[in-house]
Formats: sequence, C-alpha cells, structure tokens
Amino acid sequence: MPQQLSSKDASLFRQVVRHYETKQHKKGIKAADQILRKNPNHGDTLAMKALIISNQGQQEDAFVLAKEALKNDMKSHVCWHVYGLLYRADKNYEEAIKAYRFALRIEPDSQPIQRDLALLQMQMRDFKGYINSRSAMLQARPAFRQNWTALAIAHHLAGDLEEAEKVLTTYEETLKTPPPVADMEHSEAVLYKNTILSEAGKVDKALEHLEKVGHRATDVLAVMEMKADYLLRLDRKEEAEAAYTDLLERNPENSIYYDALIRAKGISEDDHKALKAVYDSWANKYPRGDAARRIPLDFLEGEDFKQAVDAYLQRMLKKGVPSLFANIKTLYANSAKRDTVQELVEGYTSGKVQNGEANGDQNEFLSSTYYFLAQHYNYYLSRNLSKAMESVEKALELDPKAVEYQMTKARIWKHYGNVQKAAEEMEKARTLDAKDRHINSKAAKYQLRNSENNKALDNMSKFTRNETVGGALGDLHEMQCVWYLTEDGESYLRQRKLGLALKRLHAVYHIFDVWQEDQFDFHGFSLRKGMIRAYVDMIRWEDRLREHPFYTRAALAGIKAYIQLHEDPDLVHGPMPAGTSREDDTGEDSERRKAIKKAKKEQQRLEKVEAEKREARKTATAVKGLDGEVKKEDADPFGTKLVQTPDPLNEATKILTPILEHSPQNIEGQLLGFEVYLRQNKLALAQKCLSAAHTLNASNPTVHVQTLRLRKALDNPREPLTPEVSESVNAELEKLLPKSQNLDEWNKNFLSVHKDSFSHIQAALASRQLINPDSKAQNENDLATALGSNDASIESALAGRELLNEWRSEQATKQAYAEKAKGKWPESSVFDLE
Amino acid sequence: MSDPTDDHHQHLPANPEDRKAAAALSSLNDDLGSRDPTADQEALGKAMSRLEIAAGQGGHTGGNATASAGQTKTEPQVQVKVAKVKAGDVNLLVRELDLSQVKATELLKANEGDVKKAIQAFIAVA
Repeated sequence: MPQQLSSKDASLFRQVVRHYETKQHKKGIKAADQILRKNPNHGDTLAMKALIISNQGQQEDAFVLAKEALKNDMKSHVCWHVYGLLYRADKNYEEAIKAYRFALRIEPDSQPIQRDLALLQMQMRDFKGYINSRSAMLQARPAFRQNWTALAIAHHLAGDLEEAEKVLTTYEETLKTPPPVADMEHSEAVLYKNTILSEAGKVDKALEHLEKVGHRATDVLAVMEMKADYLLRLDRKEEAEAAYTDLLERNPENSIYYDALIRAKGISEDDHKALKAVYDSWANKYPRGDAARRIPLDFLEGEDFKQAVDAYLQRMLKKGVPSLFANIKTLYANSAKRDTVQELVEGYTSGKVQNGEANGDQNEFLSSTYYFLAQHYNYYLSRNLSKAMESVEKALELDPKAVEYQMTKARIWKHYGNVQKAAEEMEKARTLDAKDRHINSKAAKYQLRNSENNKALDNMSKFTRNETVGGALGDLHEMQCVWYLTEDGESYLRQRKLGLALKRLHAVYHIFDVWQEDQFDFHGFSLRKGMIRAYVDMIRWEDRLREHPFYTRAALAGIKAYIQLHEDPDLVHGPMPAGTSREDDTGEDSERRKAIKKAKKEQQRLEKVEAEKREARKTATAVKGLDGEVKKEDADPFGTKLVQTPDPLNEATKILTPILEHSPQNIEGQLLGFEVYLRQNKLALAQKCLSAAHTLNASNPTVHVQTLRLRKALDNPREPLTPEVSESVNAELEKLLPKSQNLDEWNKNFLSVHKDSFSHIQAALASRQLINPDSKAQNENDLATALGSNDASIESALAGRELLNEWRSEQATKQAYAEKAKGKWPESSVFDLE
Repeated sequence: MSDPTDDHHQHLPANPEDRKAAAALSSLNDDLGSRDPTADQEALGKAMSRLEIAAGQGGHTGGNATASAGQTKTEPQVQVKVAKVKAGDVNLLVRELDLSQVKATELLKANEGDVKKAIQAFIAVA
C-alpha cells in the first residue's frame, strides 16, 4: 500500500514539485531526501527524485530509482508519468507512450499527462492516437483556441481534410465578433484553413474564402501569392495577370512570378518575341533589376541569343559582378550557347566592345573579363586548363589583390589533380582577406583535401569560439558545421584513418538526429504562438529530413569506411597499406607487422598530444572561472570505440537503411548497399539493390560487375542459402544475367559495346578477372593500355589504381601504372607517393 | 527542451501590460465593441456538441480519456485475407530482409503466407 504523508511532509512534497519546475534541482533533492528519511518507501517522492536526477544527467540512477518508486506504488499516476518522462529523455518513445497511457488510466483528467502523451504521439506520427488525445484535450478546455487548431492539425496531417476544415469552421462560428487584426493567432488560423481548402482541391472555395477574409490577414504577401495562384488555377486569366503584375511590382526578381504571368497572358513557350517583349518591359521599368534580363537568355536562340547575351555580359562585366559566371554557366548545357559566350568574351579581351564608352574603368572591365574566362575554361563543360591558367594570371596581373581571382587559381589546380598546389594557392587567397569567413572556409576545405587536418582546423579556429569545451573542434560540433565534419571525415577516410573518419561522420548523423529531435519543442510551441502554417511545413520537412544530400554524402562515406574495416580488420590500429591483406602475411617481420606497429605508435603519440591539449585547456578555463554549465570532454576523441565494433557491416546497414528508404534514386547508395548485403550473404537484399541500380542506369559499369558477382555468389554460395531465397533471387537475376549464359561471351559483348569508355573497360577487366583468375597479367596489361585512351580522366585513372589494389598486383605493376598516369597528367599530384 | 510540466499555464499573455497593449491595438482596428466572454462560452459549448455529433465521437463525453488509451485495438484490418502466417517464415524474412517482425508479418500476409512470393514482391523494383 502506498504510504500516506503527514500534512507537513505533503507540503514538503509540493515544494519538491515546485523546485523541479523552477529547475532548482539541488533544493529539490534535499527536500525529497527529507521526506524519504521518514517515509523511505513513498513512491511519488522517489519518482520525483528520479526525475530530478535524470535532469541532472544521471540517467541510469534515475531509472533504478523510478523502478523502485513503481514497485512501492503501482497505482500512482505520478510514478508512471515520471517513468514515461524518463523513457522520453532516453528517446525510447514507444515505452514512454505506454507509461503515459498507464498514468492516464489512473488519472484520466490530468492535463500534463495528456499533453505529454499528445506531444509524443505527434513526434511518433501516431496520428490516430494524436487525434484521440487532442479530442480529449479539447473536451477538457474548449475555451482555448489552440486546442481547436491542434485538433484540426491532427485531422489534417492524418489526411482528413474535411474534418480539419470542419473543426476550424466550428470554432470560427463561436466568435461573435471578428477578432482584432492584431490577433496573429486568428490571422494565421484563417490562412491555415485556406491552405487546407486549397490542398483539398477546392480552389474556387478557397478563393472565395480568401477574398472574404484575406484583407484582414497579417501575412500580406502570402495572401497575394495564394490569390494569384488560385486565379491562375481557375483559369481566370485577366485577374491572374493583374495579380502577378502586383506581385512583380513588389519583387521584380522572382522568376516564379514571371512564369505565372506568362501563363496568365497565354503566351506560348515558342513565341520568343512575345516573351522577350514581356521581359523587356519589366527590364525597362526596373532598370537595376537582373531577373528580367537574365531569364530571356534561357529561351532565346541563335542571333537573338547572341545579341541579348552580349548586352548582358558587357553590362555585368563593366560593373565587375563577380557572380556573373555562376549565373551564366547553366546555359552551357546548350553547346551552341556555350560557344557563343566563349566567342563573345574572347572578343572583349581584344577590345571588341560595342558602343565602347570609355568612361568606365577599362582596367576593371578587362580584369573581370579575364576572370570570367578563367572560370569558363575551368568549368567542366568548357574545360581547357592551360587557357584557364593563362586567363587567371592575366586577371591577377591587373588586380593582384582580388580574392576571387586567386581562389579561381586554386580551383584550376584542383582540376589539374594537384591538391597540394590547390591548397597552397587557396591559402594565399585567404591571406589576401583574413577577415573573410568564406575564403577562410575554402582554404580549410582545400587543406582537408590535401590531408592537412591540423592546419585546416587551425584556420577554422580563427572564426570559432575556442573557449568551448573541446576547443575549435568542439565549437564546430556545437554549431553543427556539417560541411566541415563531412570533409574532415572524408579526409581521414582517404588517409585510411578509420577511427577518426567514423568519429566525424557519426557526428554528422548525430546532428541529423538532433534535427529530428528538435521538432519536439515545436509541437507545443508553434501552437502557443499560433504559427500553424510554418509548423505544418516544418513537420513535412522533418518527414523527409534524411533525403537531404548532406545526409547521403556522410552516410556513403561511413558505409565505405565500414566496408574497408570489414575487408581489413587491421585498420582498427590505423592506416594499413592498400592492396594487402592479413592472408598475405607470413613472416614475423613482414611489412604488415611493421605497419601495425607503426600505426599503434602513432596512435599513442596522438593520445598523448590530445591529453596535453586538454590539460592546457582545463587550466585555461579554470582561470576564466565556471559559467555554471559543466560539459564533459569527449571520452573517445579518436573514434577508437567506433572502429573497434565487432560487426562493421551491421553498423553499415544502420546508416544505409535511411538512404535506401529516402533517396532510392541515388545510384551510389544502391551500389554500396549491394556491397554491404553481398558481404553479409543477404542475397535477396543485394538483389534488390542491384535491380534498383539497374533500373536507374542499366549501363552503369559497376552494375555490370555486381551482376556477375551476384551470379557467382548465388551459384557457389559461401554459406548454404535458404532455398526460398535462392529461388527468388534466381528468378530476379535471370532477367539480368541468365544462369545458362556463357559468362565469357557476356563480358566480351559488354566490352565491345562500351569499348571507348575507360570506366566500362575497367568493369569488363574486373569481370574477366573474376571469371578467370589466371587472366591477371593480361588484365593488368589491358588496363595500362586503356589508361592511354582519350576517355580516361584523373578520377577514372584513380579507380583503375584501386582495381590493381583489388587484384593484389605487384608493386612494380602499380608503380608503372602510376608513372604512366603521371606522364599523362604531369601537373597532377594524386599519382605521386605510395 | 521545454520543461514538460510548465507550459500549460501560459496560454494567455501573463503580463497585464501586454494585455492592455493588445486591447488598445485591437480597438484601433476594430470598432465593433467589446466581446462578452460568457456568450463565448455558451457558443463554445454548442460548438462542442455539434462537433461531437458530426464527428461521431460521443464516447468522449465526461472527460473519459481512457478511450485514447485503447485507441489502437478497434481498427479492423481492411480486407486482408486471413492468411496463415508461420512464425518460422516470419523469422526467415526478418533475417534475410532486415525487416521488423511487424513488417515481415504484413509482407507475408499480403502475399498469402507464401515466403517465395513475399521475397519476390519485396525485391522487385517498384
């Protein structure tokens, strides 16, 4: 039986609750202990104490205490509620929901429990449960508008637009007088209802509603945009035209308005003259604008294009607009336009400027022109690196202090395949303007590409809060600097320092988790503030969070790291030479043993340096004094724990699943998924990835090799397969590569179709090696020959080198290959060393 | 992270100054007279009952929130043929396809309990 408290202790208990609410944790614990001294088994007090110590970060102790509390008082809603809150803090939402439900069964009228349950249901997207909770909350407090709105949102997100609209209307009808214009909550709720009408496809009703209430809404722009959109969708062209004209007068740079205006005017896409006339009129009206001049370049052709682009380029070059090339390069998809631009700009350098008014600064015009040409010849659709270098040198001669010119020079070196030079030049650019954060970040990025991780961090530290726990790196984590963490992780991956690579990449996944978690605050907050439309947008964005390319990029790198770790477990100690394996290892004093020894030593050295740094930081912060919050230093700064995972492939699948689920169109994700599943001998899943990749791009070279590998794995499995699996996979694989097919012939056929592509030749050679391991020497030969072909690029040449590693080719063979590549790209650095 | 127990007290602007300012603002834009809170309450009561009838959720009256506790149980499975699903087959799918128990069961049910069909349906390109 639960203990009854004396009246004195009961008031003490109320104090505990109050201390918790005001976050005076120490006082709270003290008061709780005071009660517990007399009533050691009082469940509610134990639970409150558990909650407080959980807030202080002692999660495990809190759970122990909460369980004890429950044991003492199974029928206390406080105990169950606390139990739920602890699970919630532990992010075990399913258990938390269960605990809340228990609490609610005991105390059905408790508002806080009901609310906590509702918030969790929203977080879990349990819409059915959320509707129920919200209905109950509305029952309890119908006077609060937010309870009505919340129920409407619940129905809306669950897909019941009718019901959502009805709830909102029902509340509106209770308002005897229209709320004041300054009532933001009302204004937003009304517009929210309007978007629901529009989402339900009732455009005419939405328009009618908007005309009735829109003039009182605070968000004027949204009302204008919605109205214009509805008019256009209802085909009321004249009014739509007027509406979009109004919008363009507010903002003549929004290309969406132009597109809509043209549709409202009913101008055909092919009628270039009429289109140009529309844009010209706006360009005349707003002579300083850009959109009305730039957009026509997209559709104009031939002589018209030449005239228009000539005027555009000259105007921008005279002004010295640095972003000009970025604005023009999308036109290069059309090669005729690309050539026209090139011809024109080359002409400017030799003084072919129309109506050449000499009043402008001729020097600036010329240097901008050379700068444009440098970018032009550096761009992949119009690349000519020696011309690019020539142009950028000329630009720099005219203006040696221009950061962006120097930056372009570094980029050109990057495309030469020389990461060292690129990093040096970018660092030079940085020193031209040490206070510019953009160039600072660029310099750091190029240093990471050049494996200079410490230098990069040092650069970054010029803009970070270095007194944060963990120093500059700690601040980059706290500020969620995803690009840096990803680049740093990829840099360590290239250096085969897998611990650090995984450490950084996991930091990126963690940031995505935080973003997912962040929405929790808004389930309550947005309602309180009444910003409903933004809230619904946010919820929908969160549902697709891991579609973001940043996630995919970091995850792909992480999967690669785990695959490497699976292939060579010795990487746990540090970088191992590529293209060797444990099996080759025989002698006591082999290269590999030496490498392991060296790696271990290096690891110890790093740990010592880090410990010293920490010591230094500690004394530094001690002087500054404590600012209350105590944050712990990272217990595993080198990712040692991550890299010591007993099952790397299993870890890989954890980060792989979101890619396959949210970005199934990403072929690299499918290809890597295959690699993971094949190694796990989960052939059905491997087949699924392969089929998906095949559908995305049937002629992808890797798909060719993977098809063969799956065929081999299916015909000679490493471990016996379940008959259902092998039959199902076989049925699917028959479509790509029938069992009866002669593999040699199949591969030869592939080679003859793609004989001009270096990547495909590599795929064919890799396949031949798999079909017939004795063909190694011939394959190595053919690979070297193909390196000479015109199609070979630095990237594909690097992939070829990987292939040699995979084949465990002799050092001399690799050397010869690297030298040939170096001969082909003399400026590059990526084939040096090793 | 908002404190879980404090925010239900904050529905109204706590500061009387703010309320006054809001009232002044609204009288600028709106000269239709002041609102009568009691009438509001009446209207709300009516609205509530209307909503309940409309939504067919009469079971909620009297603050009986336990309905929300048992919310998952009553949903009838929509036209899924009663297929026999063997535990061994579910485990096989869990193992080979990295599915959760629930998803594997669903997949099997959708394919009449046939493992081969289930796998093929799963790996086929959508």
